[in-house]
Amino acid sequence: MIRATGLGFRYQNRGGQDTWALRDISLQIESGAFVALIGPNGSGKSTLARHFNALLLPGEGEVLVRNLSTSDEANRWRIRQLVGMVFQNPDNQLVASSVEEDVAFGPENLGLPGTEIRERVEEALALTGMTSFRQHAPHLLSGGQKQRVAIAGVIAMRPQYLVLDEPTAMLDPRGRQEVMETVIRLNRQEGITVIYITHFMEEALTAERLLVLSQGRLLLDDHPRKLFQQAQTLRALGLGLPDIPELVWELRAAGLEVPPAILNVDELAAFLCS
Amino acid sequence: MFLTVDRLTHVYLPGTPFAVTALREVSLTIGKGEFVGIIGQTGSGKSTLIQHFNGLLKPASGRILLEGREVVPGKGESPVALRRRVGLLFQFPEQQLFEETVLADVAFGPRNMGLTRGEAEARAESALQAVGLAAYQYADRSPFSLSGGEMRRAAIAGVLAMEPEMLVLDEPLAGLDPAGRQEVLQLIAALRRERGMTVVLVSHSMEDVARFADRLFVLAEGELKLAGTPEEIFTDVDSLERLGLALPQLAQLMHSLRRAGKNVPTGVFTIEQAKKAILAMWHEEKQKRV
Repeated sequence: MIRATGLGFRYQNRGGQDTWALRDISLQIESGAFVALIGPNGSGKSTLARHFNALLLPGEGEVLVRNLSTSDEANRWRIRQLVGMVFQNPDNQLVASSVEEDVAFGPENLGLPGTEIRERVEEALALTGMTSFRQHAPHLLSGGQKQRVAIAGVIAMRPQYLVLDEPTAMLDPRGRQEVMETVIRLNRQEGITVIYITHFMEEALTAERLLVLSQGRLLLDDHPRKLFQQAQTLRALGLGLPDIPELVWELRAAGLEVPPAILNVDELAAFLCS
Repeated sequence: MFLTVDRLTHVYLPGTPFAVTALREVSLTIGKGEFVGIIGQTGSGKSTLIQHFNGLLKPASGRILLEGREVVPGKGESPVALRRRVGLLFQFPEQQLFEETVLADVAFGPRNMGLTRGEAEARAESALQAVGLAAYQYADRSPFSLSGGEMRRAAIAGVLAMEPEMLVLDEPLAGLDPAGRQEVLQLIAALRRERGMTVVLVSHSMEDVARFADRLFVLAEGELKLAGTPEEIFTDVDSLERLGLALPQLAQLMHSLRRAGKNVPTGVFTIEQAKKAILAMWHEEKQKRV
């Protein structure tokens, strides 16, 4: 479990006033959960995510990862092993000249014996569907494949939490789908807790819990099916609704009794054909 | 025709063991004032193609024509004219902001064209105005203090300040939040509407190209596979799937309804159109039941 209590964080501006990037955030993320984190640019999403593995430390309040406080320096390496991070740009995360060397980089740095390293690399490649690419050069892969190698590199550290900061922002639709499917599989089959930051509302809808940040504060926290009834709030934040929930909203406004919990094409098509 | 691409082939690292044919015999035309979308997976040749539009890359074979005149160094249309008349905005252009102030950054292009500082800054101010960053408010700020959407617009201003006739945008919305995406999309639509600018939009968002483009070009493996209006392209579901591309969500909904025998039109890309189609279908069915 990850727990934030009264978390506040300030970036120091040179000369000027400090600005609060996070204010009074309290939340709890249970083991095995799939949580999506959305909010406008500058709302504090990445800042919050970086508190989960002690890349940033609370200015106020506390963050606990499995009861280990991130503020205590003695816990830091343990926490970073528990909580793996994947970032937006895959090119910045790949280090080696072959896929398997890249995935082995983390475990090698842990000083593990060779057999253990090989075992972890095998497992991570299998879980991300990259086994057949093991000898390939990472920089020649597609965006989706690169991002899956980055995820494999993190998985090889055997984390219990996976924090992904807009992992699909630079990918094409197929790449986005590959990454999404990989993350869902890691969550459902391996029980890895997922915290997924995205600007794509369609992706956020696949989570079982949606957190909405605005100006450093936690504004909404609910199941996507419920949150999307808060159309006005989301519009006011400039987030808007994905096309299908937006259409459901408009049809209801026009007097058609479409269930408000409908989220995707298949659900709406099934309802309209019934 | 403003721009004609005639049997364009491009090879990276020609004559080496690493030679890759990135484009093969691509032919297309773009009319003055047209808004075209280019779609295709990563690696399909989109970026290679648009870099020929303003002469950053040279064809291995085939020709580029600007208003009917072939672009060739020394004769025909000069590559410099092409560079000046076609403005190209790369992916994540905010990574290329570098000056100390927004105004200096936007004026950099015009200065390089040999304009005086005064002229360049006048152009920069009007370009900033056009992208909705009021000069009096933004001119003296550091480009790095802007939000993501503002940075993207400042980068577009940098291209506009060169006063191109055609604007080519490579994934101008990637990484922006929904509000930022709307900002930039509205801006592009306005540039086209108010200045008659020719626009080429490269995008992974089927929704955006379907709503804004007059015509679409679909690339795959370096070849032009499909060309047509959004309505034509997004009705050819089988071809799209074969090329690894999806329909926009609303078109997908209409497709599912049609397959279930419902009477809904093709070419539905906006919420307003979808709402109208579904309400019409609903009323029609109610009439039948009565």
